[in-house]
Amino acid sequence: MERKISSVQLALLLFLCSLASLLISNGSFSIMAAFLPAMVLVGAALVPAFLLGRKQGFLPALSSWGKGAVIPAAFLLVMVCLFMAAQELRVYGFFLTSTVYPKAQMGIFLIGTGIVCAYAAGMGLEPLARLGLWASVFAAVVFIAFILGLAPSMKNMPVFHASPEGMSVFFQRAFRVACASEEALLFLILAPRARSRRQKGGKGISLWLSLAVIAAILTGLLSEIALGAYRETRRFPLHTAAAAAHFSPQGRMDLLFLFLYTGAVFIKISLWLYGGCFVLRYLFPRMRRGILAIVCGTGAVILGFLPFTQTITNLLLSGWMLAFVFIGPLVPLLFFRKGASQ
Amino acid sequence: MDFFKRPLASVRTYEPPHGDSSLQVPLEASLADRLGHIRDRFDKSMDLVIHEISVCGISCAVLMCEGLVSTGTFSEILARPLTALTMESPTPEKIHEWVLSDSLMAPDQKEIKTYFELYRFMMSGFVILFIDGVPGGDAFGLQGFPGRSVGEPEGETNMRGSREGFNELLRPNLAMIRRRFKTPDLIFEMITFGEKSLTDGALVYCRGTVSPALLARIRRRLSKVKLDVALETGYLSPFLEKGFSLFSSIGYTERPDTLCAKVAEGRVALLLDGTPFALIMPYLFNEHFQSGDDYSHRPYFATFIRWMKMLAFGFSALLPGIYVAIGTFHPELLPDILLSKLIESDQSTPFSLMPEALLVFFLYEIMREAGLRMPKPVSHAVSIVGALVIGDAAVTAGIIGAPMVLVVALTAISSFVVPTLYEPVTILRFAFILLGGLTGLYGVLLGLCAVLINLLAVDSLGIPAAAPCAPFSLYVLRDTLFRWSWRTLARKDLRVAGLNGSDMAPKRGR
Repeated sequence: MERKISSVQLALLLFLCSLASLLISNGSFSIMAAFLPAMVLVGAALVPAFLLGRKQGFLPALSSWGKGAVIPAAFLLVMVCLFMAAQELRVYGFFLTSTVYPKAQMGIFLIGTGIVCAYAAGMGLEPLARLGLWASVFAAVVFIAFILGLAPSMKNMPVFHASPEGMSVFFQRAFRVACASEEALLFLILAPRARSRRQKGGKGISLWLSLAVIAAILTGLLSEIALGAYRETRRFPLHTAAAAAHFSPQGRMDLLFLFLYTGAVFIKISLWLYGGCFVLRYLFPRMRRGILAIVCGTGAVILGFLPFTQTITNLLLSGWMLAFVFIGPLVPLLFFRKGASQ
Repeated sequence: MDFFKRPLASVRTYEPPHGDSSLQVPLEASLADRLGHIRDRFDKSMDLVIHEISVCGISCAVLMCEGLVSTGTFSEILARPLTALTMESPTPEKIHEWVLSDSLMAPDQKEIKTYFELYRFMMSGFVILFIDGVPGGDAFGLQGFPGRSVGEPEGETNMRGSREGFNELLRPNLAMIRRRFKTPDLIFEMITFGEKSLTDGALVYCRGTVSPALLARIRRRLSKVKLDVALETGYLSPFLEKGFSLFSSIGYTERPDTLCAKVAEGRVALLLDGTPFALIMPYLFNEHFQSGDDYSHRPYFATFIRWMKMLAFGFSALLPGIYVAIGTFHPELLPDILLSKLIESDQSTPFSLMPEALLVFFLYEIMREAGLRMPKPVSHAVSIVGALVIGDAAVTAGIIGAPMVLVVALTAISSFVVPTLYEPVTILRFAFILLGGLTGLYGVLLGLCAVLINLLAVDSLGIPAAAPCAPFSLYVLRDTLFRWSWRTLARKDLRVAGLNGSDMAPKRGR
């Protein structure tokens, strides 16, 4: 039987997932600042899921509610996991072909990354959690290097405003950011794999959300400082900023960026694939995790080649994800309460 | 999930090999029958020695295997008292009683009941005494087979500390450990492997320090050993490891002092007759970078050496791959002067960087293997020829570039800094060259991720092999990434089973 991970390890894994999206985000500082209320909203949305899932998980809870509901829900969840992994593979491939390997075929990166991530998913959550701590430390070191490297540009730093268009726009933006928080669903899937102590679980969620907010604000700030108005013309502004940073032996910090981004993406895709395996194992308990990882990895790579993956993931990130996280657990939770009172 | 756990009673425990079932027959009372059976069984084998003698008028026989018994000790403490024995109204039972109770013919004396025991003891250097009319026999430990003397272990040389290393004989090895660990808590648990070889081994652990769960797990895994012949501890390690990994979760040592240090931390060692290499279980990844000298050097220097070893390990696995990746896909990362040298060398050689690196490392491995297997004087010649061929002739002939020779030399020297990791490093080096040459730094990074996950997934008998780095344990790092002074290290004993992430760690209070 797989051992459980600690809530801090889970928090760091989710933070690295958030980081994988933040590093290639081209949002301005005002968009990144909206992460603060957005993460508060995500935290609030996670409360019912956390209460329900911390001991036994969402699917076992749903299965005790009605056997008919759990199988379609599980398949839906597997498909969501595979689509998210596929989309992340596509984004990573797109990043590499846009910045580092302009002449290469994206398929090579889809297949290569898919194989390694499926292998990691097959090895289980524990090695990923162990890697998460050191990847987070590395992320902190890289951010410090970015700050030092971009320090010479700070003398011309303008004053930033988090909500130049007014508070209503700011909160609408925050709501959109919260809706696109895919890590919330990952949390829902992985929560039963973390040790279930209510107080520590709460601390873990707070740690993840706080780190994500700090990383978001730093990302927005650094790209604005380094690039200014030029930022809007760039697809990956932080990568451009890293390449322009002065603090490195060769005057190039984009290699550090590549290392960090690859590490974060690797963890994110592996977690989605692991999530897929975890749910599949619920449906097919006798199947070995390695086989399920191969199935999920192959599925994600195939979906990565299909053009409609982008459309489906955009749809998921437009609010369905948060609704799934927020409303999904409420039903069995209410049912349990009802059952308990009867 | 405790519900599904197997009850403890049904857990498999260690059982020694029973050997040939036809030998589990009781020894008869008639001397002629016994000797007849034994002669039949040995057939034409010339090492069986049988002396039929008369003790106080009763027919007896002394059996031994030639070359396994110390003849001087045999004649001094067994043959002479036996032949000089006088007794009033002797009977076979009286002689047997005298042998068992009134004499001391050997320090190690056993009664044997079956042919299986007879052959086992006789072939372990015991002298067997049969008395006509008394079923069974008596075995006297008078071993005197030749063995290598205690010498310095060649694979684990230390600047300071003991110069003693294990040899191939189990008992002297156990004595070397006992001399350093004078406590009755140190246990040597005898264990036998191999249905045909019946090789003696010993589990070494310190009662009270070792985790009972760890010990039970090791015994359970050893119970699954199904071998005809066990000639080296390497035969047993696959049975003790779980899952596939490039990195072994079982360590080995030739040094009794290292073994004692490991046992004092709650580890279990396994010694096997016929090999000087003892297995250490569990073995963590960071232990590859530790040596006995670390604890004799001053702490700052020991810490420096450890970091240097880690760097050398990284160098030996990654340097050729990164060099090929950067040279092929990301030349802009190289300093201008180095880049111009590289271009110059690339233009004068027929191969691109990846085939060149693969070729040179393959040649290097051939020469290393040849140097290793050859008799020593010849191996020096092989090394010289290799150095000349690769280092000079190949560059002069324009087959390989000078920067590649530099990379190979650096990598080769680095790989000898951590010899216990040579096997995974060699494979990883070739893998990273291929990944770097085909996909650049992306491939190297992805390969590194896979290797890290592989390493982090290794459990050495329930303890994460990457502990105490991952899972992280700050306190234990005092003797991992750093080597604190003995004043600090001696403050609290380290128990390997109590490390973070271990499934044997004591549960913390809520």
